Amino acid sequence: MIYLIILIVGAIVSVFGPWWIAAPLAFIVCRWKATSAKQAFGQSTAALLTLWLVYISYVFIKSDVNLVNKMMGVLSSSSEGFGTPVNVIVILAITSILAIIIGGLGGLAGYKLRKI
Amino acid sequence: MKILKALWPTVLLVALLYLLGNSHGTVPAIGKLFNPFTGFWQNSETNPNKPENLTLSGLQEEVIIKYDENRIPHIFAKNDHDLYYAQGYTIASDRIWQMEFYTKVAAGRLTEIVGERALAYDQYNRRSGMNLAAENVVARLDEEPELKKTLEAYADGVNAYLATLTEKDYPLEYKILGYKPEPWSPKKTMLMMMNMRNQLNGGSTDFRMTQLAQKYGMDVVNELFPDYPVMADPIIPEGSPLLFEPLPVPATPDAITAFPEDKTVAMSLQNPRPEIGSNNWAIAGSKSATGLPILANDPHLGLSYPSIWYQMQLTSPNVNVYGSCLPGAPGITIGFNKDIAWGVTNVGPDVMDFYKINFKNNNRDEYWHDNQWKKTTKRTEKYVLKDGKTVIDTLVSTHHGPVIYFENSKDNFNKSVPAGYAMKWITHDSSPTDLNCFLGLNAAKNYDDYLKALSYYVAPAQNFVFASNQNDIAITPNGKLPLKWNDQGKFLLDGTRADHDWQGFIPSNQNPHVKNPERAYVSSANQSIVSPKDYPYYIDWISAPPYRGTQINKRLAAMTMGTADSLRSVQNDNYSLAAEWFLPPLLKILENSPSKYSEEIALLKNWNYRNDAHEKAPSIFETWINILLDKVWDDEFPSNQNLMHPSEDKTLDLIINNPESKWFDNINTKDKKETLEDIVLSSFTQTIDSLNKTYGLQSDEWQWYKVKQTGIRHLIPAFEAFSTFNIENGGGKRIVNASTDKWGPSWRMVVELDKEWPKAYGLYPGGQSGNPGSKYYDNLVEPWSKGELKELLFLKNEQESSERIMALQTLKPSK
Repeated sequence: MIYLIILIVGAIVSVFGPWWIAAPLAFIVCRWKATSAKQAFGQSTAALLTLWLVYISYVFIKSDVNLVNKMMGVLSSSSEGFGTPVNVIVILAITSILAIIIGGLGGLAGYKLRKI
Repeated sequence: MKILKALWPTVLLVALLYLLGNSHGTVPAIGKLFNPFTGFWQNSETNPNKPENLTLSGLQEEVIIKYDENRIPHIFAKNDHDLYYAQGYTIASDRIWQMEFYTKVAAGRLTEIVGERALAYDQYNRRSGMNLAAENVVARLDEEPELKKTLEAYADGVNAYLATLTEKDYPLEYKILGYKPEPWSPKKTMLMMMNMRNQLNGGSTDFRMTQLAQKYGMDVVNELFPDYPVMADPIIPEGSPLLFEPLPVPATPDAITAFPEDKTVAMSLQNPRPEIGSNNWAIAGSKSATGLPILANDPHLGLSYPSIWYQMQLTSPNVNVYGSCLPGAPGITIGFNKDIAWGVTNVGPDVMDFYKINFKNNNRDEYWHDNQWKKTTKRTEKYVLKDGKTVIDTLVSTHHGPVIYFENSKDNFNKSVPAGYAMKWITHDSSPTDLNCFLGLNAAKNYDDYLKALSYYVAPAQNFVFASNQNDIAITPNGKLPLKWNDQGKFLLDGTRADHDWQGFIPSNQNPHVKNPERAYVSSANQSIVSPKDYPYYIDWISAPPYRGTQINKRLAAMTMGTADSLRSVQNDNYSLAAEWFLPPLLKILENSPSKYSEEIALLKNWNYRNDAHEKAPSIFETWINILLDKVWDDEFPSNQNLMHPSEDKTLDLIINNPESKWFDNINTKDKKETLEDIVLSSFTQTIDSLNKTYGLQSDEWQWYKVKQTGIRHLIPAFEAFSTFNIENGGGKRIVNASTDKWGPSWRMVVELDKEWPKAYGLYPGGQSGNPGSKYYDNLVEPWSKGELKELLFLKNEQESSERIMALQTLKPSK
């Protein structure tokens, strides 16, 4: 349930909201619905990861330009980063950590505060 | 305790969000940048089409924009206001970051984006007065009410685009560097123009020449650095008649320079910056297959992303013009309409001089001029660093202009500016009419309209080439040029003497000019403008080496039944006149002594003198000639001591006509007298050693394009990944096809004039989009590197259909 709500509402608010919008969303949903810390953290992370990875994959496939390589090049001060496979893995890793912080930590924070 | 346990995730969350939402030093705001809904993924273009319908406030009537297959906009407006509004809107939607970046450079505000490391650069730009000049031009815009309206409409269009943006829509560069676009204004357009003035007319050799005169005396200067080249093929054909009654030229004073006192500045000084070259020409109907003129232009600038130029067609009831424009400026800069075509190359006149200032005391409130103390003006400049700290600077100005540096220091950005001197620079001119020149050309119908448009132009001076379907061709080195005594400003000037001041300007209609010359073509390639025999005024002493100009003239002189394709082939001409001139005498010397490099010598002997991409000989020749020139001159005129070398044609003249010259002796070897032969042999050995060391023993790695290494770099040098390297093309700095490592033809255009409707071709190295995540960012690089041109789609009117139109956009006024 938590997973589904964050996934669906998250998809809508992400289009308009600031970059951290999923954090208060997970916070509110978990404060309202979560029954354990593990559930709050896990389902919030999973929902945001699903949303982001599906969206990224869509953009990656539809684009004519491999912006992942260009971005990794800029961030690593080189012309192409570390080659496409490693670049993709690094980008996915950073994205996942971000999803854990915004989604997971957001949900956990909401759950922990449900009694106050 | 219980509260603490419940609260820690929230505290941690807020802390992390704060950290990830802000940039730290050079690390961007990772949270914003990597969130797929706000960060860089938003710039990965999934739909190349622009929105079909937009409602914008400020528009008066509906505007239709048709996009062709290269996403070039063809704008159809019902009035001029809407035309420039839509131009501003459209160009901003592809290039806003670039437009704003140029203005930040000219205004000396880069520290706000990149921090303290840009401070010296900003200080130079701010002190040299570009920001102030832009303000002064804007303050006088009421003198040109039509132009003011145009600039305001353009700014409104840019701002209408900015109003549609939220943070996630910002160009990638804003996201990575962590700042936001500011509203556009006519002042920003003027800053953009100031940036061009600085790029094209911002150099000076005065300091170097003065040091040279100080060290060797005027006789050596006159011998080795003459005012007119040894091998000249000037823009105005020699022997052209003077068509006006000249003004009296100011008398040359008894002393023509003011030597700097501090002779110890020669430390780690940089070489003069690379020459900016460009070509343009037009052939008359008598030389073309169509019987009407054909015009070609390829301005050479630093190759950069986003592309310097932006193509568009602009149509209203008053104008229908196609060409390339500079992002940030209304109208078309280089292009054509139904009746005429025009193009520009840089003149590079001596319009930046330095005056030694004698201040009364260290307060610098007064300075001595014309036998009296005069007041300086002071202005406080504030630089805001990226972290919010500020640096304050006081700018001191005399009637000549601003004093750039008070002390010589290795930290000064521009080492060719002497301390204690005031800068007099045409860029400070506040006349607001510049853009009327281009807007006038956009709507010009004939030669008279062309002349009228040119009279508005101030700077940077350009060689305006012209052709019309009335069978006229012309070229005019044009701009506001000071009326100088001979050699005024070839050296540093004396700021206390009134006779060293600029004393008026050459009337615009007395600028060098030629119309329909007998030879049936006009051309320019930054070479010397006009022989002193044919023109009364001093413009400058230095010019680009004669190779490109002479080669172009050779090709055009031989041309009959020319077509657009013949002109395209001249643009891509890789023939090295330098090799044709230098190699025979050098090879003769080389072959007179035994050499272990017979294979390399054979490569040069069998070479057809073309700097083609896959040839190896040009790699040897180009490396060799540079080393050889250095060996001849760098002992007497060390470039690391702020001195400059005599021209290449002067050197060739010595090699051929005076091989025993004392200049071939290396003055650093006391007990030996070197000869030309010694230099030729040792420089060749050094050339092969250097190639062996860098590229291995002779192999395909010696192919010219691999050695020349042409690349197109993003405006932020650190963004290598947004750049293109190792482009497989020929050319060189002594070649008509002037592609070097960082410079090259930034827009190639060929226009066949026609009574009915012109046919034109062109492209530039890059693409319409400034977004590295768009396929239109660099889609034209490959055809450019092959020397191809695209046929340009010039629509007769809004109704004309074309299968090349891929998308339509309608801009509607909001009620």
